[in-house]
Amino acid sequence: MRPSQHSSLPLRLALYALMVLLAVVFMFPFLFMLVSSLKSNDAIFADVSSWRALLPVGPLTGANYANAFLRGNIGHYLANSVLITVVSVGLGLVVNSLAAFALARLEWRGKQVALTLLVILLVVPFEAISVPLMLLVAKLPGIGFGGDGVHVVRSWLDTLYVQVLPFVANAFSIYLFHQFFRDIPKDFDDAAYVDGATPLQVYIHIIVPSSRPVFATVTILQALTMWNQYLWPLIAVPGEGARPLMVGMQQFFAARQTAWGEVMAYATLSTVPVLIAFVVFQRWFVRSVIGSGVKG
Amino acid sequence: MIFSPEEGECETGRGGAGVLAIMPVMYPEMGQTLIWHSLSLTQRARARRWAMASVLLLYTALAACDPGTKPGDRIELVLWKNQAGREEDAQTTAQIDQFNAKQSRWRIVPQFLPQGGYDQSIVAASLAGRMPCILAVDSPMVASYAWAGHIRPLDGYVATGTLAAVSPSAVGHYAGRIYAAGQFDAALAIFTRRSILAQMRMRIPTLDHPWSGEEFQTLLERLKASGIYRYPLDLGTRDDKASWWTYAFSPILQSFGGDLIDRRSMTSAQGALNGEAAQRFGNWFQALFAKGLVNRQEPDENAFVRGRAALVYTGDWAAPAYRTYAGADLLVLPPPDFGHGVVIGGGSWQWAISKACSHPEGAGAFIDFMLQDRQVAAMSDATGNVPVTEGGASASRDFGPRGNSRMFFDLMRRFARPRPATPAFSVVANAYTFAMRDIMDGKDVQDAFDDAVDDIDQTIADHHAYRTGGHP
Repeated sequence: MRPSQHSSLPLRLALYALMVLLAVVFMFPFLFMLVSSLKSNDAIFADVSSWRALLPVGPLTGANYANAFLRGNIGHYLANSVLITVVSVGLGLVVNSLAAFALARLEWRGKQVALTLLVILLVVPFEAISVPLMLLVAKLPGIGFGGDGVHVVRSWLDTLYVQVLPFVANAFSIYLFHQFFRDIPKDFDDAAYVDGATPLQVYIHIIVPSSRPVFATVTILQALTMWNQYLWPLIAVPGEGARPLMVGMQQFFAARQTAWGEVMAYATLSTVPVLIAFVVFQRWFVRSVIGSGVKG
Repeated sequence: MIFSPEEGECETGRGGAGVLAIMPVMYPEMGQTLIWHSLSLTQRARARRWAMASVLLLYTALAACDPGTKPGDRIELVLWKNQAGREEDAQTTAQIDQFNAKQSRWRIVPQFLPQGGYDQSIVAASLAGRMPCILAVDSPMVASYAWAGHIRPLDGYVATGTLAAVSPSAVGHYAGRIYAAGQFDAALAIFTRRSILAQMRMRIPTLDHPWSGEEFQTLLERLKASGIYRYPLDLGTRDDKASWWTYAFSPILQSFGGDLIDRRSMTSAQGALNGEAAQRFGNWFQALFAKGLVNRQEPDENAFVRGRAALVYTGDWAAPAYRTYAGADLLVLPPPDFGHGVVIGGGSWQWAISKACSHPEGAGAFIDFMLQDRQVAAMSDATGNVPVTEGGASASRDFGPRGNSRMFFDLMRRFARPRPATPAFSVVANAYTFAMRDIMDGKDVQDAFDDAVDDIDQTIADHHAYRTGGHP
């Protein structure tokens, strides 16, 4: 919403006022989290019903952040989440875009059936398949990397890759890629084929360079999904070694009295990487929301 | 990660090397490109097929191999415990280390899971056949886990004498057998100041002579009339979890003569939860809010510390903060006797052995160790949790005869009553909590409890009164 240059001054002022008000409303939870992360439990509750809740006033402390690292082991969980997110997004971009390329640009028997199945998959929530998936990965042998070198483990459970591989192929990402690839003129492909290019070369040299916006969209949406993973690691990763960031936060709720200051510090630290990514890729992020019709 | 010795990892340094050696054939861009490019297209296709087949064979072979346990090796038993805070987790780890050091047959491998999703993790692990050998279970869930086939009875694995020494409220029963035993318990009490009771001209109740319901009501009304306290009593109603509402308020219902369920049959709540005693309890509870004696939603958990409330009904875990605030003026009192004796909730987290455990004797040895007086005392002194054995209390610094937390042990031993051991407990707890919150908000007491009874009885009927096991 941007006031037009031709709008009257009062109208523009009203619109700006509305936007500022909305910005304050949207900033409220973030400010509360940030300010509370610098306060003790008592101070948080003492200030909660006044504007002091949003202001860094009163006795402030960095102890909550220290505890997030020392007690909360956030460094380890953060590294796990970064690794899981980067690898799953990287693999996902390759796998899903290739799948979409095959669906959108190549002719093969059964393509329409595959596309229909893909659309059907879009409406199946993860919660519906989490238990069957758990049963599957529990019995899948995998490769472990321990102190004694590479070895085989009898289950995918409690590993980093159990949080990556099941999420690499993603129906929604394939669908987004498919919709975008479909609109690229086929004449480019035909010209390349005439020059002797293979489908893979068409994909690499024509489709990928023409599709940066959709790659950005999928990267952002997939990265947010992976960063915020909670249910799956909760049931598939009992140990602390491969535990991601969001599940790690649960430890602060364990005691009878929740350490809200530490929860807020942990939440702030969890949000910062996403916030930095948002600021850096703001342009792409807005486009992705507009292009996909999906909020992150 | 190792789940149990028979599900152990297969050391395969050579296997790993084999996979790595084949990688350049499958992915020529990774190396040996000169050799690769010297091959014809047919040779390349054949090489790819062979490489794929070799990897599959290797993978299958490695997956099938099971090194077992080498002679002389310790048998590893995985233990799952809820994350319960720094002190408790550290003490549990220390005691596991002690157990591992004092014998050479078993090695306990602990994993601390987030409490928020602990039940989901257990159910998922059970479905997937990946249960740990030893697990901590919240006492109200013991019956459900036993019925579902997640855990097995302790008899035969933990010494009878050890279990007999444990306070009854800390022992998890189901269908007449012991399935779990806790190393500690908790105790609810009324906290106030000596000076407040003197000001209100009220006697100090004791374990032998607790306040009657009428005395308690008189105190509340005097406090309200004094004008000092807008809401004299803090009942912790800001905590909306069913676990608190059941733990805190079902004992008061029992003191009135009602209960969550008919404990003789365990198949219906009819009469127990919606009878005349429950009606009286519900009316009393509703009046607390209607008369402004209790705040429906305290803004924080510090009403007593900040002087907004004269009395607070909570557990032993709050005592350290209250001692700091009130010092020698602090009083820890038994809850009132509303006609059927003083009752407080019993049962905290308890140790159990999974049905899938291949070495229950090792798990039993560990639980037996954890229930010895020395370990019980050490856990209580480290965490403030109430010890569950007389010997443990005597050996404890804080809960011994002259310890400043002794009162909680006495309350637990004399008045604790476990929550009903039924697989339907989670439904019972939710139904009761909904009813209580509705009553707090002014709903007709009989209607609220009738609705809860309907929910509970229907669930039990749907499960054929839990006559058959819940496991597949």
